[in-house]
Amino acid sequence: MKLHLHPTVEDHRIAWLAAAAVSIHILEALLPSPLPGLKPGFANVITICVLCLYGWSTAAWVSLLRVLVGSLLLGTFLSPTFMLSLAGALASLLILWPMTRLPGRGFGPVGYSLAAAMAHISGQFLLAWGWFVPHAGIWRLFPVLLSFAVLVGLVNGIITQKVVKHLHD
Amino acid sequence: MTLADKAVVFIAVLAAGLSFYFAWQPSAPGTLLEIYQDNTLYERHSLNEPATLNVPGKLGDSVIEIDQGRARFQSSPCTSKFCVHAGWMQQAGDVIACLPNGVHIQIHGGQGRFDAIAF
Repeated sequence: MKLHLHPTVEDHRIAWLAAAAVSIHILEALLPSPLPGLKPGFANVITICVLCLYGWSTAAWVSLLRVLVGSLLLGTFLSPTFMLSLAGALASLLILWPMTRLPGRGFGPVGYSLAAAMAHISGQFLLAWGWFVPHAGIWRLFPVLLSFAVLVGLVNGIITQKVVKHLHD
Repeated sequence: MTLADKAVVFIAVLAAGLSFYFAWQPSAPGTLLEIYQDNTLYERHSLNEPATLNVPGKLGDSVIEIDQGRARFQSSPCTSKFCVHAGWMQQAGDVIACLPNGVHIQIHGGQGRFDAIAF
């Protein structure tokens, strides 16, 4: 028996965009990090671009595929790193969903990126605290990582804004 | 940037600031000093009782001073004196080590004995 798949235009789009996000994700894994958890998260520029251009569900596909494929290629699938990555992605998507439903002019790339970055680090922290490091001491790291998240969220948001504008023109 | 974006930026900066206020607290002061010789416990001493202890190491005696809830290496027979320059320590979890002499001290507080589980 032969199985026939009929990928739609949407499927192709998701695959291409997820591939771009995975590439950035892998390149970023090469960067040294002074503290566990400090990552610029440039792959999320793609996620937010997709969110602005094609909507939440495409962005969710791209984001989750990026986490899955990225972990398979880096060899961290089902490891704590993967769990933290997934928790961050899910928390981000969770906050982005109601944000896309806001009437009026709503949010732009900067708002999405910043909120997603903060949700990302908070989701990771809750998982790390509840599962890997069940010690109140871990929260001392939180202000540092949250401030960093605000910084990279802003930077990624501004990059995304430029990319989206460029794609529109 | 839209108005909603500006609101997010405002909330983000506020949240980052507040997180320092709530989570960036000073460590708990220590109550107990443990002195180790070659990674084996040599002596436990309360930080509340002033004392000057001579701890024999590989090179000679390291002198540990305890005073006002703090502890330090008063002197050590090593050449680098990193341990002495570390100065006074008083927070739970603080450690000073004199590697050449094989002596290290660790301050303990009221909290749990481990702070992370690694897989």
